[in-house]
Amino acid sequence: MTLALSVLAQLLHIVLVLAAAPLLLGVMRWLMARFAGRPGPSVLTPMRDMLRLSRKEMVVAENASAVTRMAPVAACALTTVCAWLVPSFIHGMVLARWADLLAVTALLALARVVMALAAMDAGTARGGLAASQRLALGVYMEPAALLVMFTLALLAGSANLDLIAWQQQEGMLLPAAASALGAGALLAVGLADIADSAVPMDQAYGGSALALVQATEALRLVVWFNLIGALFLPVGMAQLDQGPLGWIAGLLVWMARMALFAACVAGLRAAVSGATLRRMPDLLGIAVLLGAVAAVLVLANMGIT
Amino acid sequence: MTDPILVLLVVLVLALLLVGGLGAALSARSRQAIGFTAAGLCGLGALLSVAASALSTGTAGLDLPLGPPGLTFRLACDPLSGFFLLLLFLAGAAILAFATATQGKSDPGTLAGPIVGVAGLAFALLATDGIGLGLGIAVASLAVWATGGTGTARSMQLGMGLLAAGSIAAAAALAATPEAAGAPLDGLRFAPRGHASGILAFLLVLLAAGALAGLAPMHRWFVQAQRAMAERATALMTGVMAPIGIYVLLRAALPGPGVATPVWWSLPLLALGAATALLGGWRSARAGTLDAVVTNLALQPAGLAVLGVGFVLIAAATDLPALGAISLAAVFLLVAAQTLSVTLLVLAAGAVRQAAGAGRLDQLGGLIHRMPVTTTCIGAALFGLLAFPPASGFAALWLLFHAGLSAPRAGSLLPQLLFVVLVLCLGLSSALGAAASVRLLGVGFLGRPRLPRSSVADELPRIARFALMGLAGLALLVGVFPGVVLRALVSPVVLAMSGHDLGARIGWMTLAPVAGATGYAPLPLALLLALAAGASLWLLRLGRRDERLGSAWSGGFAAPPAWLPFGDPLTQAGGGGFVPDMPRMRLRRPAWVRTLPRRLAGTGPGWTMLAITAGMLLVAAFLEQP
Repeated sequence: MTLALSVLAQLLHIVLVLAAAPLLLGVMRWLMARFAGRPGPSVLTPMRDMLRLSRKEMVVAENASAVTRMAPVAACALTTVCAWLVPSFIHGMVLARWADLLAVTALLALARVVMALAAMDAGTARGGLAASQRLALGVYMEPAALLVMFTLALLAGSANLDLIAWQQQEGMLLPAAASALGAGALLAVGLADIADSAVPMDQAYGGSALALVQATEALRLVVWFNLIGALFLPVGMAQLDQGPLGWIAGLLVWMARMALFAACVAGLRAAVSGATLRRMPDLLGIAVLLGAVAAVLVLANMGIT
Repeated sequence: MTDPILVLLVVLVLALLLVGGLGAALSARSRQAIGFTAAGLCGLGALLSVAASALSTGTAGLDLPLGPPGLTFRLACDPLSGFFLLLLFLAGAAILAFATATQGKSDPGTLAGPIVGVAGLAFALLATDGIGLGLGIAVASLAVWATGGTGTARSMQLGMGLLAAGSIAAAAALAATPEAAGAPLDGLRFAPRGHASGILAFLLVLLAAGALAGLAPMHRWFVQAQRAMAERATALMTGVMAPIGIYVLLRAALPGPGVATPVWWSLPLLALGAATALLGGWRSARAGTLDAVVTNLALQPAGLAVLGVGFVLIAAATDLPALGAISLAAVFLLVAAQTLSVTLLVLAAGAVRQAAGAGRLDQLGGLIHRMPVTTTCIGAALFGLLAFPPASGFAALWLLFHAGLSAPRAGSLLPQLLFVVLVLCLGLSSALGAAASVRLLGVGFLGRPRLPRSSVADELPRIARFALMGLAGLALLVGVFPGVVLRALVSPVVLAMSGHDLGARIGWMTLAPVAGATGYAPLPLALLLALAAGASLWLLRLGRRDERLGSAWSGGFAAPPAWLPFGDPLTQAGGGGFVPDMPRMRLRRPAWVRTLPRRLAGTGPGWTMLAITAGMLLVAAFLEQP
């Protein structure tokens, strides 16, 4: 029975997350336009754009190799697996036992690396520039993310996402201040990861491939929101055995959480105009510091008790 | 009773020496036969080593009467030597097959150097005392030196090899009569005695490992020594001799079970390991030539492995056997990744340099169109080193991370803070490694050719491609099945060295921090990835499928003129800006430090002096032996 429920929860999660991706992107764009005082596009625009692109012929650069053709598929697969593994509204999904925190973040980073390779494949100046910018940013992101994971794993005694989320929900991850610092650091890493760049990495794509790249970017946003939500704000997440009402409550809370995050990020972007890649090293430097302080806080606390 | 596998291994080493000697003596015509025979012998050796690690207990030894009368070398093989022998023979088979296949008619060099080198290193791994270990390394260094290359680089290499051999011999002399009970190979445990000579022996062992693996203060010399050497020699050095540096550390510097060493003994290892991993990644992401990128990247797994050995020492000092077990597992994974991936990278880099006629990264480009198999193999090897699942580099990082989680149990706050710094270093080094790898592939192999020569580069001959594909396949397999590799090959070693059974934490399919807990499962992840890739491909195929070739959009710049058929080379990224700029440090080393290796190595008398020193140390060690 439990197995059947966990499979059902997993399937529901997968459908929800995949459906939420283009919608969330639409909501974010609409909110950003509203914050900037414009009426804003329909929330369905990203989905329509992807459908429209998928009906266009693909233009491939003359010099492109198999890397250009395979990269969107690989990046989409990597991001999709992350989306499957990071819990959204319920604990105990069937894939939860493999949802290792380190593995999930490394898969997200690998998707970036694959797209960076594809950006260099056509041999254009802007592609190379975009790839080098992203990877140079990774040198700040990776230590910050690893420190946050270290803090959480120290607190929870495990690096399993579902386990950490459950303990966080029960208020067992003490001191909470360390969690708060870690949340700040991981938020900065997530913001840097989804930041717009003046030179995007997907310039070499058109047609269906571009649609897939855009869908992957939208899914990435959902993964980040789910990850930060599950690690630091797992309020109202349902248990497998709570029955239909519990599940529905979990779903509603999850949607509210996503809306809240979307509003916060859109507001932040509108307030700090030009939160582009070039400004990110400063932010990430602070993130590394926050992560280190969080880890030290946990260690000091453990030493005393 | 003598172990039959050991006898066979010794016969194999002698056969390799014989074949190497024949290779030096015979004419160029029989070169292919010699090379493939030696590669076949290495393959046989790999099989024997598997048998040795799985079956051998290491209690039986074999006396080999060599050298002056009355002196015998005692050889033995336990699972630890078996594991390293396996890696040595696998890499050796690939190197020899590759070298035989790619060697041109005009190339005057023989294959004797690498063959004798492999034999020497195998002898070093079988030796039960410092003299034999040092002698094997010295023979291998001389063989690599004889393979050819430019003067300074090869002399520096020889100097470093002899330095390592001499330090080991001196450590053995200091330790004198380590006739501990138990397996014969315990005689190699020089360091773990508290008194002054123990500390000195520990430092000497550290020096030897540093010279072999290119640890932090010596990393510049290590990279310089690889410059402009034949790739078969370089591969032997970076891919095989560097892991033997880790072997020396594991063998000589770790205390046996039940022997306590102070915690601070681990500090130099942790510091050197972290510094080497960071410097390797950093310099690799900025280096200008293909060789320098690869050699610097090879420092990363070596540094992380030394870091892991540091964790093992902490575990021994604080009596945390579980920490020791997972750190050891990480060390073994890193060593395997280094041997397989780095050997492949060095071989391929040398072949690409030959085929494309340029060694600078910003003079290559577009090679994926001309050398698709080589490029794919290089990509696979880089992936094996990186910290992304499901690669062995990630499994090792995961284990080291979980070893770091034992921090709260390591005493006061100050050593705990050290762990925070180490986690920071792990993150930095994995990001730097990723940047360096993308830069290597993206600038050197993707994009447009920058010189006409690289647009007509030819793919490698078939056997050379097979050698590369074999190494790449093994590297990927270790990543997907780390549990299988660890449990099948090294679980007795881990049990003997840490006193903790690996089986509780490392299952066939999952690595888990605590017995029975959830952890990192590479195979399910790989299957999920394959499933998701299939789904993504199906999604892509749902859309319109026809494609049109067009010139790439380059931000609105005009097409290049007709006399630049490859486009303007300067409009491609040349590999700058992959790591953030750092404020330049005003740290100038005094002139004599900077020129010391060149002065020692550059002149003939320089390395002769080193050789004499090493010889004197050997004599000293002989005198000390009972």
